[in-house]
This record gives sequence, C-alpha cells and structure tokens, in this order.
Amino acid sequence: MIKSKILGLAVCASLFCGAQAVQARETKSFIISEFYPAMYSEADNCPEGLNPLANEQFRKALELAGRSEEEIKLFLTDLYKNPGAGAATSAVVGPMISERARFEGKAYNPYINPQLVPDPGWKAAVGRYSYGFNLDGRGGDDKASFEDPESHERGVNNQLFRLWGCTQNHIAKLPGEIPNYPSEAWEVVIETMPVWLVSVTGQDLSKDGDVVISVDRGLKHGMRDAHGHMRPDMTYMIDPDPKAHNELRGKIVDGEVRAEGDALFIRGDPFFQPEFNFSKPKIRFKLGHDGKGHGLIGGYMPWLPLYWQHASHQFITEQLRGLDVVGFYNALRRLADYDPDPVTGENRQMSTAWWIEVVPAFAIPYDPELERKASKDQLASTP
Amino acid sequence: MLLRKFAVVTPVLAAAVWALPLSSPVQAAEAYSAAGQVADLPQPTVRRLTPSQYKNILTDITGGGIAVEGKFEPDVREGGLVEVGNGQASISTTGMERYSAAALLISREILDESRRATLLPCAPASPKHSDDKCAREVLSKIGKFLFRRPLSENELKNRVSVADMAADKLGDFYGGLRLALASMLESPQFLFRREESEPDPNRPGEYRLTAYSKASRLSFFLWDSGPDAELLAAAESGELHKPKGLQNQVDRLLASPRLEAGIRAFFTDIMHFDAFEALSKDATIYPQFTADVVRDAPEQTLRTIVDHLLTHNGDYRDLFVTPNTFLTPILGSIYKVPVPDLADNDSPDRSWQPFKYAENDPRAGILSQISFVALHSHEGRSSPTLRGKALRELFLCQKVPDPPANVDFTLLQDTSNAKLRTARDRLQAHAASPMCAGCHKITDNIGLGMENFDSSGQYRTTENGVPIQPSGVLDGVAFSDVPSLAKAIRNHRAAPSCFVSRMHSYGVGRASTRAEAPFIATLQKEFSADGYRVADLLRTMTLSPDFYRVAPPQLASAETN
Amino acid sequence: MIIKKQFTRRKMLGGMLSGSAISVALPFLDCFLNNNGTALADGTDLPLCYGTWFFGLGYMPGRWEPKIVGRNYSMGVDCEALNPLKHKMNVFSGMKCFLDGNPNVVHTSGPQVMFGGQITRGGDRAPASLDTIIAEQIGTRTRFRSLEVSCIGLPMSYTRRAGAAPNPGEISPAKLYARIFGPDFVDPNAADFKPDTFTMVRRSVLSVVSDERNDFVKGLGANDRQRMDQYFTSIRELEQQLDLALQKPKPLAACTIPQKQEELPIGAVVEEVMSNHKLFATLLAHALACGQTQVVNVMFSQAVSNLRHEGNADTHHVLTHEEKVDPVTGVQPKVSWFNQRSTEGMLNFLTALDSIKEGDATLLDRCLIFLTTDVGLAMNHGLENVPMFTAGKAGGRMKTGIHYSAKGDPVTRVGLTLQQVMGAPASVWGKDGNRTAQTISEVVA
Repeated sequence: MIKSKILGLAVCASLFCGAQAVQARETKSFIISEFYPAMYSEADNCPEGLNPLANEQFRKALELAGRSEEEIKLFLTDLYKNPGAGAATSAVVGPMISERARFEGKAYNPYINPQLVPDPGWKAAVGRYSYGFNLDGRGGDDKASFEDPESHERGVNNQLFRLWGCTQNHIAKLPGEIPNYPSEAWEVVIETMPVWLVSVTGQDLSKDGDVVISVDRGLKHGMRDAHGHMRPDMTYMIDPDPKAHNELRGKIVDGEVRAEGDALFIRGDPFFQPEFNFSKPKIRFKLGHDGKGHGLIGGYMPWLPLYWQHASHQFITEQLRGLDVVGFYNALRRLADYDPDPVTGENRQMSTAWWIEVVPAFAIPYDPELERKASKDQLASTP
Repeated sequence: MLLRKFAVVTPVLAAAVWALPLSSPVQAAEAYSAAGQVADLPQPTVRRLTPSQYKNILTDITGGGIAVEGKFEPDVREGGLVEVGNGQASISTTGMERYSAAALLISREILDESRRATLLPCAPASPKHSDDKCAREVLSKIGKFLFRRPLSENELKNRVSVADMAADKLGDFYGGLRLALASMLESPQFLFRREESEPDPNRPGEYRLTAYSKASRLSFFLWDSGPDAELLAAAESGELHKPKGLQNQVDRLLASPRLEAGIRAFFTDIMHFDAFEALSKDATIYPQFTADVVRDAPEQTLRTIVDHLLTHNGDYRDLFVTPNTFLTPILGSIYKVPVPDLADNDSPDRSWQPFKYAENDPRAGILSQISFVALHSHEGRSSPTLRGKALRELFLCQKVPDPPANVDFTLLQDTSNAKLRTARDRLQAHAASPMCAGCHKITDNIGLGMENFDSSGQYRTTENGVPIQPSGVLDGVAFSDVPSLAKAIRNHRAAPSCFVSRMHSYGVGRASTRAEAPFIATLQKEFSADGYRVADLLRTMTLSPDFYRVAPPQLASAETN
Repeated sequence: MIIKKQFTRRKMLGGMLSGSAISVALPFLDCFLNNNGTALADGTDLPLCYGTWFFGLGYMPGRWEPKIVGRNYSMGVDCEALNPLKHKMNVFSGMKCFLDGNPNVVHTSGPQVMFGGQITRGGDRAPASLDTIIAEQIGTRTRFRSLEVSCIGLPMSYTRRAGAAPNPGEISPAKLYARIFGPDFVDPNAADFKPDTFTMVRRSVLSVVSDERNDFVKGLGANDRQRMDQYFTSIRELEQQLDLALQKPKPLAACTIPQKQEELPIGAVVEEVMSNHKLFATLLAHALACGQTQVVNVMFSQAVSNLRHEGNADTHHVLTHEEKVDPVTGVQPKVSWFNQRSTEGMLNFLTALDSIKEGDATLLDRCLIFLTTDVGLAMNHGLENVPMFTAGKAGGRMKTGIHYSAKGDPVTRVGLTLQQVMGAPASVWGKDGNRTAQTISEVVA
C-alpha cells in the first residue's frame, strides 16, 4: 500500500518521472538553500565610514546615557569578569546598558522603548548598484533607487541594502562574499527550520514560456552533503497548512524564471525571523549546469519584524554582535519607503531584496496515510 | 569413484579454474583438491567468535540493555568468508587487551545492582563476603551460555574458588563474582567455538560432532548466536542426536524471528559488507556520498534480502532482478527517487520505506544497489574491473587472479584523459598489454555492463559527455544493459550452486572437502527442486547427518603439556 | 614466545594479598628491564598519558589545515607556530558534527559531539566524556584520576563521567600547585610502595584462564594448537602487564617538583590567560612526569571565547560575528590574531611536555594529547571541518606527522581512534549521525 502510494506521488511531483507527459505540464522543485540580504558592497558605499564595533558602541551608548568616563572604564573592564554570569545579569554593569532608556527620570528597557534613548546615529549605504527589483514602478530617475548589477534593471528599490551596507558584519559582495551575520543566522536555523520549497510548473521548462511558481513550506529541515551545503534531490512533504502555500505567475525568459504576485508569506524561525511577509513580491532565478540556481526574492515588508529579529535578543545582540539596537531602530524608521501610516504618515514597510540559492528537490503533497501506516520499524534508524 | 572422475579433468581446471565458464564451484573445488591436496573427512573447527556472535550471546544472556561491542580484532577472510577466516584466526596481544578491558566492563554491567534481581538466581548471605553456594549457582547458570555447554566440575570449581578468594580480599561478593565472570569472558572456551567429536553409533567407524557442538553449529549458523536454553536441553538429553529431536529443533530455529539475524550475518559475510568500515569516496567528486550513505547502503541490501528470502520465501536467484527494495530519504537522494521522511522534524532522518522500481528501471536487483556498485569501485571513479571481479567471485564462486606486480595504471586512473573519455576506452587501452588482457577479459566484459553507475552509486548515461555502452557477454550470454546483465546472472548455472557451496562453508566454518562433495551435490539438486528457497536449503542442510560428520580424532600428539 | 608456568604465581600473589606494603620486586621481572633502565625490554614503556586541550572558536577554514594531505605537511598560516612540533603531531581535517535535526545550540553542540559522541538533549543522560573513557583504561591507579584546569577564570571543563555533571576546572595555578605538590604529594620514587588490591586480585583470577590451557588444547591439530598458543601468549602478556602494575614502579627519573607559584591575576584578558596557561602547562607536565595522574584536561579558552584586550569589549567571540571580512583576503584580521593566540597556547603546552626528557624520548612521546575546539567556522557557528589535532606518540601506539582529511565524515572517527589507541575496548562510538565504526587506521601504529 505504502509502496504504491509513494510511487503515485512520485509521478505527479517529480520531473524525473515522465509518465504524466500526457498532461504536458511539468514541475521542477527546489529548496532554498541560501537566503541572505542581497548585499552588493562596493568600496564607495560608505563615505562617512562604517558603523563602529561593540567596544565603540558601548562607549557611545554610555556617554549618551550620561555615564562618567570612570563608569565607562569600569563597565568595559568588568564586562566579562563575572564568572558564570554575563554582564546582563550583573548588578553593576548590566543596568548601565540594559536600563539606559529614561522617562521622567526613571530607567527603562531600551530595547522595548528605543524611542526613549537618544539616537546614536546609523550609517547607511549610498551608491549606484544594488541587487533588487523596481518595486514602486518609478524609473531610474528616482534618486533613491539603484541599478541591479546583474539584470541592469534601473529604478531598483532596496532600502534593506542601504540599511546594512555600512555595518561590518553585513558588508559583502554576493556571490562569492557572503554576509557574515546573516549567514550565521541562516546556517544555524536551517538545521531545524522546515525547508522552503519553490516549484516551477509549465508546459516545457526547457523552453521560454509561461510558468506558475509555488512557494511552500516543507515539513522537515534540509539535509547537508559532505561539503556542508544543502543536499540535492532529497524529498520533502509539503506543509498542508494553506497559509504555507503561495502562487506567483510569471515566465521563463532566456532560461531565467521571473514571476511576481500580490503577496508572499513564508514562515521562518524565531531565532532568525519568525515570518517574511512580502507585499508586491518578485522572484527571479536562473539554473546553472549543476542543477542549482541563484537569484533574488524581493518585495516590501514591514520593518518592525526586522527590528525584533535583533532587538528580541536584547543585550545579547549588543554584547555579542556589536549592533547598537537603538541606532538600528531609528535607521529602520528613517529608511522605510512604503505603506504610510494614515495617521502619522510614517512608512510601515521597507523595500528589500534577498539573495537566494536553490537546489533540486522532490516536493510531494503531505499524505497523513503514509505517516499513519508507517510501522515502528520503518521509523527506526539504521542500527 | 569421485577421485578418478575428476583426476581426468584436473589439468585443465588447475590451469584456469576461473576461465571455465560453466564449471560449478564444487567441481572446481574437488578438482583442485584432487590435484594434490589431502581432502578427506573434515576436522572439527576452532572458530573465533565474530563480533556479532560475541554481541548476540551477551545480549541473549542479559536481555539487552548493556553496551556490548565485539570487534577487537580485524576480520580475516578466507575462501571468500570471514566465517572461514575465523577458523584460522587467533587473538593478538592488542586484541586480548581489548577483549580483557571489555570483559571487565561487561561483567560489571551484568552484575549491576539494577540487574541482579532478574539475572541472578540467588543472593549472597552477605554482600561483603564470599558465598560459595551462590557463586556456584551464578557461575554455572551464566557459564553454560558463555561456554555453550555446562561447565566441567573442574572449570566451575576453579572459578568459584577465585570468586570466593576475590570476594574476601575485596570485601565484596559481587566484586569477586565480577572477576570470575570476567575470566570466563576472557577464556578460550568463550572466545573460540571449539567443536568436539565423538564416535557416531549410527555409522560405525565414523565420527560426528558431540551434541553440544552440534547445538552450537546449528544456532550460530541459523541465529548467529549461541544455543538457547531449549537447544542446550536437547543436547543434554540426547534428543539432538535423534532424527525427530533434531527436526524439532531445526524447525523451531527456522520458525523463529531470530533466523533473520542468521541470514543477515551470512549475507554480510558473503557480500563483504565488513569493507564498509573502511569505505570512503572522494568528497569533491561525490559530495552526496556521506557517512549516512555508508551506514544505510548495506542495510538497504540486507532489508531487501530478508524481505525477499524470509518474508516472501522468494527464489534466491530473483535477488538479482527484484524491483522491490527499501530506502531511506538519504538513499533516495542518491538514487534520485522520492522517499519522504516520516520521522519528526527533530529526529535523525533515516526512516525506512518500502520502494518498488518501475518495470525496466535500470535499478533492480541487489547488484544495482550502492552496497555493490559503490563498494566495488575506487574512491574517485567507478571500476568495471573490481565490479566484474566481485561479481564473479562473490556470486559465481569463480576465482579471478590478482593483477601482477608493477602494472602501470596511469591510463586507467586518468579520468580526464581527453582521448579516452569512458572507462571502456581506458580499459581497452590498458588491457592492450598482453600481460593484462587475459584477466581483464574475464572481469571487464561484465563490469563494463555496470558502468551506468558511478562510484557513488548514482545512475548516469554518459561519462565525460560520451554515451556509456553497457553491453557485453557473460559466459556466452549477451546482455545490453544492467537489467539484462542482472538477468544473465540470475540465470547463470553457477549462481545457485555457488550460493549452496558458500552457505555450506559458512555453516561448517571451512572450505568444503572432497568427501563432502556428494552432500553438496545433493543440496544443490534439492535447492533447484525446491525452487531455490533458502529456508528449504537451510532445513535440508541442517537435518542431514552429513552436516555434522567429521574425521576421527587425530592421533594423540606426542607433545604433551 | 615461551609460555611460562604460572600456577605458582597465583598462589603466591594470593598469599601476598594480605600484605599491605611490598617493596621487593618479584624476581623474574628483573629480566624485563633493559640495560639503561629507561625502558622495558619488551617495549612496554613508562605509563601512557592522555590529555585534552580545548580552545574556543576554532580557526578560519583554509588558515589552519595543511594544504598537503598525508606526510610532509606544513601547518596552515594561523598555525605556523606549530611547525617545529609538527613531526610529533597529526592534523585531522574535513570532519563534522552531525546535528540530526537537533538545533545547533551554538558553541555547545560541537563540544557535545566532540567529547561525548552525540548531541545530548534535555533529559538525556549525558554520556561519559572521551577522557574519562580513556582514564578508565589508563588512569585508575594514579593519585588523581584526572586533573582539569581552566585558564579563563571560569571553573569549566568538558570532562564528565556518564550521567554526571562536568568536573570543575581549577582556575588558579597556585591552588593547583598546592593540590599536587603540597603536603599530600606522593613521591613516586619513595621507598614505600603499596600495590593495588584490585589489580592483585585480578591478576590472580586471570591465571585461571592460563591454567586451563592444557585441557583446552588437548586433541587439537598442529595448526589449531599454534593458533591457541598465540592466544595463550596474548593472555600471558596480559598477565605480565598486571605483574608490572603490581611492582614498585621503576623510578620516574624525570620527576622534579616545580617552583611554587604566586597567584597572578586571573581573568579573560589575553595576557592573563597566556601567563596562567603557561603556569598550568608547567604544573601539569610535572604532575604527569611524577606519575600523579595520567589524564589532564586543559581549557585554554571556552567555546564562546571571551579572550580580549584590557578595557575592550571586542572579545574574540564578538569579533567573529561582527568584524568585517576583508574582501581581498577573505580574512577577519582581528579574529585571526586571537586564533594565533590559541596556536601559541598549544605550542606552549606541548613544549612544556616535550621539554621533559625521559631517556632518549620526552614526556610528550608517551602522551596522546587531543587538541580541538567547538566550531568549524566561528562566524556562522558552522560544524563542518572542525579543527582537530593530536600530539604525541602514545608510547609508540600512534603514528605522527600525518595530515588526515575526511570531508563530511563524523568527528567521532578521531575520538574512536583515540579510544582504541589508548586500549579502550571500543569498536563503535557515537550516536545517530555521529556514530562510527571507522577507525583512522592511518595514524595507528
């Protein structure tokens, strides 16, 4: 029973089975194996220099909080000197940073109330090139826009690149250079986060023509190969939750898949970012000879989740990643470029572009019967 | 009779045993023996326990739950079988150190407070002092399973006295018992399966195995472990020497789920799966060939075999063509077929699922599996020669000579040679040398038929952009691709006879002798008549007195110690 | 090898058991000592020693591994300082820790696999650490079963018995000095010697096996008899090992008591760590040379290495995550500087062992030191290609001067090999993806 079911599924879901050729539609599936802010860093991005590292961040934060030079020195000396406990729990040095917000003379948590702390400033990137898409429909005359170095599309909106472009652990020129912190988060999270599946369906995928792109979430995390990359040709069942399913429409043009839609929702992971909620999403990717492909997913997304991705770790973010959370908050607000709040007029969303790599996979529909019928022996691992 | 008959063909066979396309292995073995070897009735064997036997015996005694390992010495392979090599192997100093360290750890586990109530038949009067009676009870109970027979009075007395002595010195009854138990786990009676013989009253002048040796031969053969209580009782009562008693026990052993362990051990041995311990592939060329694949590949084949031969009582020969197998998600990624993972997201991803290949899929039969094509390949490229050699030696019992020394392999190794882009081209260039041509003709012709599988076991249709031509001829039968090659092996006359001969050698722990040739010939005939059912073969073999027949004891050695 | 009669030895030892201090060697053992008294004629040398040397945050890929696999390698650029000792070391590259769907608990999952062979989840009984498995074989008869030190002011270690909490690491060299060389110090060369009761009893019990030889070989053919002779020779050698353990150990000529140390500042500032580590290295080397222990565990820096400069919050760990990667070299320069301090620490530790001469060899030669870390790439907490080194020949049991690479294989292959080299009866080690039966036979002598 199980046997035939698996085979049945294989036929519908896989490119490698040609049995459904009668219907003359084929599907190729992939998992997203890399996903980073689409950084294209160049030497002239930061005329005012880079955002400083933790040591300077702390010094500046404490100065802004009105601490004396002596207190600052004490803080920097004692920060890591408390056996068994981080500074966050230390009665002496913890409050200096984690209670540096002030309102009516009282101390407050600066991560929850960043608006109560003086803005330490944030250096954002400038430049001609950035990966991305023209999301607002305005052309290359729009001074706030970039030119995509790969597609050479002009009028590209990617404030996410501007946001991170002068931060040391994000600076990278993809492909080849990989942004440091985003790759840390991604590499850790893919060990457990169910895969993101992308399936392309069309008449004949070897030729240009109309296609439908499904973006789904799988039920299991990806597996790695001997190099530590995501392993190709693994099989993933699709999460039956309707919210996990998206469809975009588009074309294959010169071998490149391009598609767009109204909305795209991908569930992430709390460690990383709980969800990615794109407005006006666009996707493009091109396959290489090894069956893998790379490209972009872009669109507007609310900036508040981007803030919480870092602020939720509170002092740890500042201590271990050298990111000034308050400066980051103010930068997000300043750089947001879409969806003004009807009351305040402040933009609630930000244009983004994310670099993706895809590797081939089998995506098959979830079948509760398979799980129900699987014997204990089947679920056991190899002795 | 036999002697005369084969003496005639000997010169031909001795020259090129492997080259005779249709010679049965038995004929070959007999002829080889007749060519000058002394091959009378076989002597009883002294076999070192295999790691799995060591482990299984202790698991049987304790009911599991304790960490037991048994691999403390490298395997020795003789005549294609580790089980035969173990009849030649001893224990080195380094190996003994490990056996001894294991003995101390295992004896401590067995006597752990949490297990005493279930495992031990008695408790001492005081846990701080020796207790002669209780020590005797424990040691004779456990000792019977370790030595696969009751301990002699002398053996028991020695151990009880050291247990007592040690308990008093250490001030700990269980500490003393532990050391006595450890000494059993270090003793030759446990580590070696020494078979003993006695005169056979049914065949005056002839000898047979004693009832306990017979019980061991049966249980190690069928269950890959020592005899259980019932089998030992049948030996003790003499039932095992009576045809009805033997039949009861054989039927019981064959009907038990533990037969699977025996079948697994046998195929692990004949298919050289021990070599997986040293198998690796060039990760740059085959990044998908990870440690998970190495772990799952032999298991896939063993599951296929157990399912086909035991669960479905299938024809042995169909193992070479069966489309049914079992896969894990990881193996699915090598075979490029969808195998969903049913385990939870936070579990290791190796759940097994039955899988059936479509008709005419090139992947059918155990020889298309990673456990064969990847095991018999080089690290960075496939090897028609290794595969052809393995195919002949493992499944057809045809001996392929090793290559002579000082052969230049450069042509073969250079897979980026612009002119010689496929393995076929490279081998043809290499084997153009007359020194190499003879053997390569034997191996490559069939090995090239499997070139559609690269060294990692992935299917391919081209090599370096050139289409692979998998056609060839196997001992007169033409094939055009992997399925037709598999079919040719399935229908090869030597396949079932080789299997019977290997199984016999495995069971008796040595090469079959000339005197056993008629017995093996009978087994082969019956195997064929029964439709090549392995359970039937095991039954026929183990019910026959010939399976237990041994030579009279050798003259007492002048050397006494 | 001639099988000696040993029936009487059992009785003799049995009789000796009631005695407490034995200062007279059993006569026949004399012949095992060679002329200069530095080694035993049959190759059995001074006691084996094992050590773990842990450093946090590894190295950047490509900057530690030798380019050449096999012999005649040179260390990668951040490990160049080790080149003078490379002939006494091995390098293991390419191997990884498998998570099997468990979250990467950053800086924790790696050491779990490296030392315990498995990912330990909440509620799991923590497995025994590698060093305690080995100590079970070699370290049961010394004054200290093992000694743990931590150079960063935090009493950490990765050493634990199964199910137990980790042993605390000593953070003060002065206190370690007092513990080893204080009033309780046992001079290994003192006249008094008390043999271990358990070993005595065990030796006595083992002779039951050899006593049964005659019965067992009766009636065997010549070939089988020869095989059994080899087995009984192995038993005999086992007995000899126990006999040796019951003798007053031969003098540890290299044992000297080091200078007493004053307490220095303890903390995570680089200079403090380096100087305290040097003191620890000297003390541990002397403790090994004086037979006080056979197992040492050093935590040079913890997994989330907080090594830093005075008054600077940019710790080694912070820098791995925030420092810009140089687009030309692909290197984080400040991180590389800290990584080179790990190398310097290794060099200091191994030199401390190697500078104690024992006849023609050094203390390091009878040691096996496993030097490893928590990650393959600290920047993203990668568990691929985790750096591993060994130093020392384990008294001739280990080959050295080899770079072994096995991309994608579990790191537990190294742990399994070390156990086997040190005599532990392990044929497999680890769990799930980290389970392995593949010994690295290339480094086993």
